[in-house]
Amino acid sequence: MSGSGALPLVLELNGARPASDAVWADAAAEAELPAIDLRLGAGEAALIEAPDQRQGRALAALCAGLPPLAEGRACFLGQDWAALQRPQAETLRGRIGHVFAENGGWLPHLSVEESILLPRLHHSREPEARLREAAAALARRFGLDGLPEGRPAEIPVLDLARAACVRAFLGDPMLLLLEGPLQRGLWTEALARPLLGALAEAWRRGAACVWLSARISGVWDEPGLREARRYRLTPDGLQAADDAAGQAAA
Amino acid sequence: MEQRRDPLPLRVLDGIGAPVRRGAGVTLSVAALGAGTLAEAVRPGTWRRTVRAEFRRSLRQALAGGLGTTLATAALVGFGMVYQALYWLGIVGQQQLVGSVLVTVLVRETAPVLVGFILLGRSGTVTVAEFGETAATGQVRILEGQGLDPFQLLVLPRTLAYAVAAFTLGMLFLATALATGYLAGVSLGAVSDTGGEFLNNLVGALGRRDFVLLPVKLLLIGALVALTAAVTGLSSSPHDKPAHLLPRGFVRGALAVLTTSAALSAAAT
Repeated sequence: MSGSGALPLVLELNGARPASDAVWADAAAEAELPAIDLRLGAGEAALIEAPDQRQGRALAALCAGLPPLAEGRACFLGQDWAALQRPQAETLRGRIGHVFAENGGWLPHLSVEESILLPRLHHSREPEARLREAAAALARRFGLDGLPEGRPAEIPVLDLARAACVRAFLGDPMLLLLEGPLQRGLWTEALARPLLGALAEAWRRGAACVWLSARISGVWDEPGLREARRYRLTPDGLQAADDAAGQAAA
Repeated sequence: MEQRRDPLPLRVLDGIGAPVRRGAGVTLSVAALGAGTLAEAVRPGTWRRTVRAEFRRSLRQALAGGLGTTLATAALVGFGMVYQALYWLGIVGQQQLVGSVLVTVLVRETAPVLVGFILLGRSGTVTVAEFGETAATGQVRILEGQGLDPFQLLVLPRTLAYAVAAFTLGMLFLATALATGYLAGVSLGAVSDTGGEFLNNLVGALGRRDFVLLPVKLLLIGALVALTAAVTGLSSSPHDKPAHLLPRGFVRGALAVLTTSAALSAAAT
């Protein structure tokens, strides 16, 4: 990872606080967020401890420009989410790779393979055969035999977590939003190694990453994430993890 | 903590008003999604490959799922209605009325309603269950997070696919019912007309408005089956179980089919 320096900002949240609006989303809207300040340049990462998972989801949604804002500004690749028309915002969201909380994000009527390819097929004009080939290569890298053809309910949890990583990294996204990809018993070398390897490559080509995680030693002590900035999501906003720990001890 | 109950008059008003408001809400949602479907469907930018794929998948499911039931029902209706009409009108020497009787009863009313119910049972309930699970597990937010418009990706292709499926199944239903009834009449000695005369009699009874009414009815019924199912499924909460959702979706769909058929028939007379 590189330092911020003069690199362009990938994600910029300036005192951004979502409005209480139940229209844009469902359960995540119930979790209120404080004003959030976060700036991530190319090749940077933020490891964020979110004690309340719903707040973590709301923060990921804020990064993706989903909720309307009560105050502040949220920008991705220099574009203010609030200033974009819906189709433009959707296209821009196509440049975000997202691993959703609780192994989610699988439509019940599509196979896992179809769900993996869906966002890229929708947002790009790349030939399907080439996309399928790239997805299969990523799947093998994450330890799958190929693209899983079954329905989500038929796939083992670990394979579904691998498939979620394949979907998130497919198409070289510029921002990775990882909602606890190694939680719920998924911290295994078989998943962690390829995930950290893919992340390192993404950082090298200029992507940024927001990793939401409980403070589990496997992730927080991981050497591959040593340079990630560490925060804790508190009622006052994002605080540097050491400050938050100090305040809690005091 | 003890919860304070509202006074009786307010509870009575709530009992009357709540279902009315719910019904009006569903009607307005269906109307809004229908208008959105029409507006979006004519924009070339809407038809990305993912939307086209979903349209093909929904159309295949609706046609393949409903074909067998449609043909079997049509054969039964052919024997029970077409053959009976041929037989009894033949007994009283009024064969020339066969065309107008079948057009009035079978073509205008029975076929669209039965095809609507078949589509509702075989495909509408599938949509209620799929969309219900999608909404209850928060997948709508997740689709939006990936830059995918749930309306464009789920509702629009399904509405148009069900409309096309209803029209196709309706035509197959009519062809099968008429063929079965005629063949039953011939084999049981109740019909002396040739197949050509029988068809001429039928086509002669069709007015110009029937050529508009039948396709419009079938297309609209198909679209409304999809829209009522979509509204029921997507408005579900995590507490809604399939045992609640499916009957709700069926009742709404059945009301939509019957109301549309009756309203269009009344408008055309």
